[in-house]
Amino acid sequence: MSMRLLVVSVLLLSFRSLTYAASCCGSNVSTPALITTGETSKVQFTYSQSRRYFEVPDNSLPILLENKVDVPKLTLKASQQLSSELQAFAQTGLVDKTSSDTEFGVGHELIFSDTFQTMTWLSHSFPTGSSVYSLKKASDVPTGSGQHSTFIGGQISRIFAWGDVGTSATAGYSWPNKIHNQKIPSQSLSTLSLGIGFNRGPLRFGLQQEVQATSKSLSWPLGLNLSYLNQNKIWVMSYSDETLFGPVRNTNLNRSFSLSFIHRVFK
Amino acid sequence: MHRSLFSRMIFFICLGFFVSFCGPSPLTHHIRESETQTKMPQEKVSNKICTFSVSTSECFTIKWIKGPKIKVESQFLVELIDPQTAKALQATEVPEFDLWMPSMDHGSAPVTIERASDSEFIVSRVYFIMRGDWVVRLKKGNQVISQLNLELP
Repeated sequence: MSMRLLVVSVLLLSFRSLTYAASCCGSNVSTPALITTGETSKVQFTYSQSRRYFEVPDNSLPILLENKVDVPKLTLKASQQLSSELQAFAQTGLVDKTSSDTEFGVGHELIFSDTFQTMTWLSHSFPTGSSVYSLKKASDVPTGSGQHSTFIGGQISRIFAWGDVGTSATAGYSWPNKIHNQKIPSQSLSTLSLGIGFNRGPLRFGLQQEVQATSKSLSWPLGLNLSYLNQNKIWVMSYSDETLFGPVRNTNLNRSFSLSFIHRVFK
Repeated sequence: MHRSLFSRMIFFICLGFFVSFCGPSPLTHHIRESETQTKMPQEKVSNKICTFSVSTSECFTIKWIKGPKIKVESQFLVELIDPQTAKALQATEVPEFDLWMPSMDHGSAPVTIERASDSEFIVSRVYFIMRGDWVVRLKKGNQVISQLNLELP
C-alpha cells in the first residue's frame, strides 16, 4: 500500500513539476497541489534554485550566458479535500524576497482505482508578483506575469507494480491587462508532459519530458526526481533542465534543482 | 476498456512528441555571449534618427546619454521635431514615452521624463530587461505617435 501511495503522491508532483514560466518573466503557475492519496489536506514546501544558462531572443540562436543568473524560489502549496471527488488548492511563493503570482483552483477526480488515476483541474493565477512593469532596477528578475491567467488541465496515469506511466496537459489563457498606460495583450499557454516512474520500497525515481509553449515561446524541459515516503511525509529532490532539447524559441533556458517537503494530514 | 483507451492515448501522445521533438539542441547550436558583445545596437550607430510611423505632425530624435544596453539603466535625450519644417517643436506638454518588445508582447517599467529645454527632454530609468527587438514609443494616451526600433544584442 505504501508503494502505491508513493506512486500517486509523486505522480502529480513529477508532472509539471517544472515551473511554467512566461518567456520573459516570472512563473505563471506550476504543479497543482492536488490530493491523490486519500488525505484530507496537504501542505507542500518547495525550495528551488534556478540558474539561467541561455537566452533565446526572437529569430536568434540561443545565447550562452557567461554571467549566469541565479534565481532562488520558495513555494508554498496547500490543498483541502472538499468531498470525495472535489478538492481545492492554492499556491504562492517568494522569488528572491519578492512574492510571486498566487494561484487558486479546484480539482476533480474522474477515475481513481488501483491501476488508473485521472484528474482534471481548473485554476486561476492572480498577478501578485512583481512584473516587468514594476521593476526597480534593469537587472531585477520579474517574479510575476502582470496578468491574470486561467488554466485547465488533466492528467491520466497507469499504475503498475514496478512504477507508473502517464501524461498530463494544461491549456491556459492570460487575460489582457493595462499597466502604466501600457496595454498587455492576451496570450495562450500550454504544456504537455509524459512521465515514467520506477519504485523500490519507499523510494521512487521519476523521469518526465515536457513541452511548454505560449503564443511566443517554446521550450522542452526534462525533469528527474527522487522521492522518499515516510508515513505521512514525502521528501522529493528534483532536477530540471531546459537546455538539452530543441527547438526552442523566444525564452530563457534554465537548469534548476529543488527540494520539496510534503506533509499529509489524514482525518 | 480503460487499458485500451490508455494505451492508445499514450501511443498517440508519444508519437506526437517524437515527431515534433527533433529540433537542434541549445547545447550544440548556440552562440556565446561574448560574440554578441561585438555587435552594436542597431540604432546606436547613427545616434540621431527620426522615425515616422503614422501620419502625424510630430516625430522625435534620440541621442543616447547612457546605453542603449540591456540589464542596466539606459538614458537618452529626446528632441521633438516638426516633420514639416524639420525644426525643433516647442512642446507645451511633457511627452509620454514607453518601451515595448513586440516579439514578446511585453513592455518594461515606466520611464522617467524631465524637461531639458523647450523641445528637449531627458528620459531616464530606461530598462531594456532582455536582448532582442525593442521599440521606444512616443505616445499620446493610448495612441502611438511615433516609434524608434532597436535591436539590442
